[in-house]
Amino acid sequence: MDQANAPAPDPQATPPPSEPTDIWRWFDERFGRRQLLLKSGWAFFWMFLGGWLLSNLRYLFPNVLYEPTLSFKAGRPEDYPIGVSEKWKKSQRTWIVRKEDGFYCFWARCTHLGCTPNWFDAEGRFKCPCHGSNFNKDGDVVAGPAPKPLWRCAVQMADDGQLLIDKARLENRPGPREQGEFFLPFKSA
Amino acid sequence: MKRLLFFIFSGLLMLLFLISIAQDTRREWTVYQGKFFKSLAKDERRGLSGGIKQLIISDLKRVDRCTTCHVAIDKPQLALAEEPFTAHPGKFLQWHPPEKFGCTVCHGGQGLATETAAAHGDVKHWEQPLLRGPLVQASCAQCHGDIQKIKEHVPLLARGRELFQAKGCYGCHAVKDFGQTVSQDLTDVGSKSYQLLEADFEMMHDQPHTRIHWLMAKLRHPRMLNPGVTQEHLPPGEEEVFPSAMPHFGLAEDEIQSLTVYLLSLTGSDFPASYVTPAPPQPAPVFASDVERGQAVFQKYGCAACHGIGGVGGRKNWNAGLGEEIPSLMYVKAYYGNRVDALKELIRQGRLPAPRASADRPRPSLYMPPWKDRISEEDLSALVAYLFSLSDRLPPQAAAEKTSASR
Amino acid sequence: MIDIKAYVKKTKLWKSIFRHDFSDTPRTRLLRVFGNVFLHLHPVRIAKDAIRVTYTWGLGGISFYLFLVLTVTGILLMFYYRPASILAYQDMKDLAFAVTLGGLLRNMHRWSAHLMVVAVIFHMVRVFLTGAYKPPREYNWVVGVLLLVMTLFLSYTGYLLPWDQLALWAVTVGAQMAANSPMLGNEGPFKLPFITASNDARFGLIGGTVIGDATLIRFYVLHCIAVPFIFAIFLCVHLWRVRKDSFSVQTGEKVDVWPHLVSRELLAAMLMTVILLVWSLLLNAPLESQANLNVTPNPSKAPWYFLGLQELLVYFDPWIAGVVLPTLIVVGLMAIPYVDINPKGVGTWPKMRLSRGGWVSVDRPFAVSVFMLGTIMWFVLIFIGQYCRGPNWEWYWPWEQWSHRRLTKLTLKNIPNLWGLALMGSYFLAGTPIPKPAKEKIASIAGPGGPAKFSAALHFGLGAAMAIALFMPILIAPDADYPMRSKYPTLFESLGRAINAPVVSAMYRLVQQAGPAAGYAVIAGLIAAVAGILGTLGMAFAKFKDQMYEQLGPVKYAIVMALFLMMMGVLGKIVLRLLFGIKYLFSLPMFNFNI
Repeated sequence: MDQANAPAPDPQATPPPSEPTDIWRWFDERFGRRQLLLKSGWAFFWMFLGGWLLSNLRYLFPNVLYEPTLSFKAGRPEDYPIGVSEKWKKSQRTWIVRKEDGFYCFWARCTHLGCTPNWFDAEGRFKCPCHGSNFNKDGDVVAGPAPKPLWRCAVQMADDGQLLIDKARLENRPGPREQGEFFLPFKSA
Repeated sequence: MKRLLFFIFSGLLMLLFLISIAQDTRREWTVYQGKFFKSLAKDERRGLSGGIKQLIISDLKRVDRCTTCHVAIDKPQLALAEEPFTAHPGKFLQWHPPEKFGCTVCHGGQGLATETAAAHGDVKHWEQPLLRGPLVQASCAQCHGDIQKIKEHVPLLARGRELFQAKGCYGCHAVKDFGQTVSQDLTDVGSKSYQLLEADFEMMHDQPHTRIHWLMAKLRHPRMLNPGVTQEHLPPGEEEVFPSAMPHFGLAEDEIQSLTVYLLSLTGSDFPASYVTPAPPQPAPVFASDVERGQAVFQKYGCAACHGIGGVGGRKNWNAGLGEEIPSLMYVKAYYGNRVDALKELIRQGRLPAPRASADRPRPSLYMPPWKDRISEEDLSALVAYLFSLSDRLPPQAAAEKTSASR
Repeated sequence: MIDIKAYVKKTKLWKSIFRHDFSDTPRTRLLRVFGNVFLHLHPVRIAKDAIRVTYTWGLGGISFYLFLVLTVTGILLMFYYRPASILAYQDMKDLAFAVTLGGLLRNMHRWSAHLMVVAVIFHMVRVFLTGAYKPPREYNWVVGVLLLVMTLFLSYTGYLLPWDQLALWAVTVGAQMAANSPMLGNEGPFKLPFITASNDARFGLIGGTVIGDATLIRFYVLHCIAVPFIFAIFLCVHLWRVRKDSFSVQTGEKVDVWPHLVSRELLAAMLMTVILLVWSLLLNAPLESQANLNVTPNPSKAPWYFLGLQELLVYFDPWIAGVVLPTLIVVGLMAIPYVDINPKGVGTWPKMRLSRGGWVSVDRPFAVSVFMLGTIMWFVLIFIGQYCRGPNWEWYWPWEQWSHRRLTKLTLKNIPNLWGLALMGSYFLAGTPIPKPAKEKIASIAGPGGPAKFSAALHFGLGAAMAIALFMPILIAPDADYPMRSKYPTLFESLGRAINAPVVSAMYRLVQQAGPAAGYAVIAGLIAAVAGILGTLGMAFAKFKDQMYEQLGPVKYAIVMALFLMMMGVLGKIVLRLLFGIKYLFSLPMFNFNI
């Protein structure tokens, strides 16, 4: 692609030449653009490199996970005393709370930075050891830097009479969290 | 100046290198092994080698290096009288060959360690302390489902289990889904992390901060570990905190030790079937009368924990109606003599939460839990018969007064 | 007697490897540096003043040496460590108990990591104070900041590998900050529509939704290969640039690098090794109980170099304290060479003089004071996080015994939003300069004394606005910040009863004893005092502000002033929280926006 000896003939009329050395000149004249090949070469190069890097980035996000499922059965409601039950804290990272009129379930994860709080029955509070967030029995923040109340998981009654907890569905806004799928009414005697 | 510095630094490097080699080669266990080998005669020493010894028990996912210092534990002919060169007492190693069991599965401690304090679990961040002396009996229950069969070897464990039943612990605590949920679940109290136990080491001033001592302290004086917080000490707006509702049973030291052994035996161990001998099925007991059967029911489900042995009542229940006490059952006949169905329904449904004496203090910690689906209907009728029989122990005057009062 | 040494040295074998002799001639000295791949980045001769220990304290070289120590000890540790959750902890125990020199190597690795973080920070401070970032060396400073970030990231990824409680929860906190990133985090503000918990920044960092084996292998690869590789590349650029931009000191007669500089480097490396060995022999690296997702230690602390950030998390929302502020710090650091147009102070430590405000640099008063203030603040925050925070991140004086039974005191309160906006608005407005054209305009309207009066009015006015916006809201009811059952009618009462707002509760006690009139008097007095102080400060710096504006121009001035005010704002917020019990100045919980 020598710019020095550049002829400027009529681009339409010239037929493809028979000798190979003129093929570049033919390209330039036919498509009217110098360095088309160079430019498109670089375009492909950057597209390739960019695409390769982006696909590497996508590579880093796994498609399958080796983590336990998010819903589980939590036993019969009659077996739960009124108050906070730690029965499933270790295996499922949830607390089941029974009030006089029903059940709700907390995801045991502090809304500040994800540590697991602890329930202090003696003080009626969930306390997170990482930065001192305190939550009351309704999950509201009563001290510390947590920005939002504790997340509640969906609770429903399974066919066999057990509680069915689904950690995939979460709610923590006051109002919606006390109704619908996030609160299971259950009358104690 | 630079030459001097060079000399000093090189010298220090040389010295520090030698110190680190010395520190690394002369470890605690090398001292012990050295002592042991010196004590042997030449022909005894044949076939024995030095170095770290370990037992790799893949089935139990353990690696135990105890035999590095306890060199003669399985060689009684070479053993000495002083620790750690003693031989294992009894025939336990015959019954539990070390290659199959290791050491820590029975004795606790930290198998991977090769230093004394760390190996015995007497360090921070290791929550399975060595089960010294008779406490080791706690581990037998991990595999042996039939305690009666090995009773001669595990007297404390057997006694602990009996006491747990007799004192009525099942009335508030559940173990592997049997018992009640009024208080903590004790299913894996022997292996749970200290933080999940809410072990209050701060109130144990002169004792080691381990699971063993915490359990003993709790059994000895429950309220010492959880004294609650009264209004004066609370920040404004906070509710008072009642002391622990666990009754003070006034246990003797040997009872405390037995119960501790039993509680330590409650671990979440999940060993392969080849290790476990399950408990044999218990034959259904035969009773002479309904009252006798009812008494067995009363004992089985731990009613005595709250209502006292023989239903005398009187245990403290903060802010509960009826005088902040658990009611006595001696007057049940007087109140429910002609309302048996109402009594049965009360036992089935429980009374949850217990009525409060004062509305602005927190709710009482203890309450009558529901027994529906736990006590069968026949057992329930027997229980009622037994409860009615309690009034027979009252002086006749009192019984008559109560009967007239209930009309 | 055949001289073996002399004979060997004449063989072709020897000469093919060693191309020069070992005599001490000028030519050999030259060849030793010039002809050696490891040393040839050095010049052959160097200015005497450049190798003075008290100029650089060898901090850059020490950082590099520590990196080498970490690489060597790290590679050795890799022979015994397996990055799987069921094996990692056991391998750590094996290193401590069963591997020859395992404990020592692990200790050396850990302590040199900590020492390297200290060394690179001190190196940065040294470079700043000696002005060695000024043109033409700006880009090398930027590369240095990148190396600092990579050092911290290497430390962070390495921290997880022991797989103990300390490791797991420190990484949990950091990963949650990723989840709080703006736009790319599932729990951050301005979330992009396609972001969920299964594809956000946190997911990519830890390889899943919970920290587990995927995270461990990921961090292992990052720690051992990926980041060291990139670090090495940038290190090459950094060292190359030191040479290419010429060292910042070129005075004094020239001496041969071999032996004068090289010997000092060797001595420094030996000294570092001695320190590391002593430290490693005396103190064991910590190892707590095995990682357990169900048990969160109380308190859970990040490694010391991140404790400053963890402490900041108390005062600000996670996405601000964890993402925005660190980004601003890094970007601010990188911007320094481009906004600092003062050519003075290169190649020497700043000469200090004692002025009314304290010790000040003669040539670069603003730059040195602000940078040192920022550095000191960083270390004070680390100190607080390390020694003044106990269970539940409560405040404990360093001598106080920690207790898990202590009940958290009453909650802190927010200032109502409008007052908070007024406070922040007047605060940032206090940074405006009065440019020359404006001054001339004012002088033409109000006479020659006009600009001074205008400046006074501006600064005292803004000071008064800030004081009023701070103190007035405590006399009114708190706003309905997400459902807290407040039993108290005013902020004053609620803060006053709290023990963790010393100033307000002292005022409250005064009001209890002396009646409301005394309280109002105190508040009025405080407003006057604070307004006066802020106004005086503003006036004192007014001339400096205007001067700076003249020199830097609007863009650079805006950058410098914004960063400076934000830094002081962080300090102010910390004071407000610790002394006054104020939680947020502006709070929109629905949008995760709390300042």
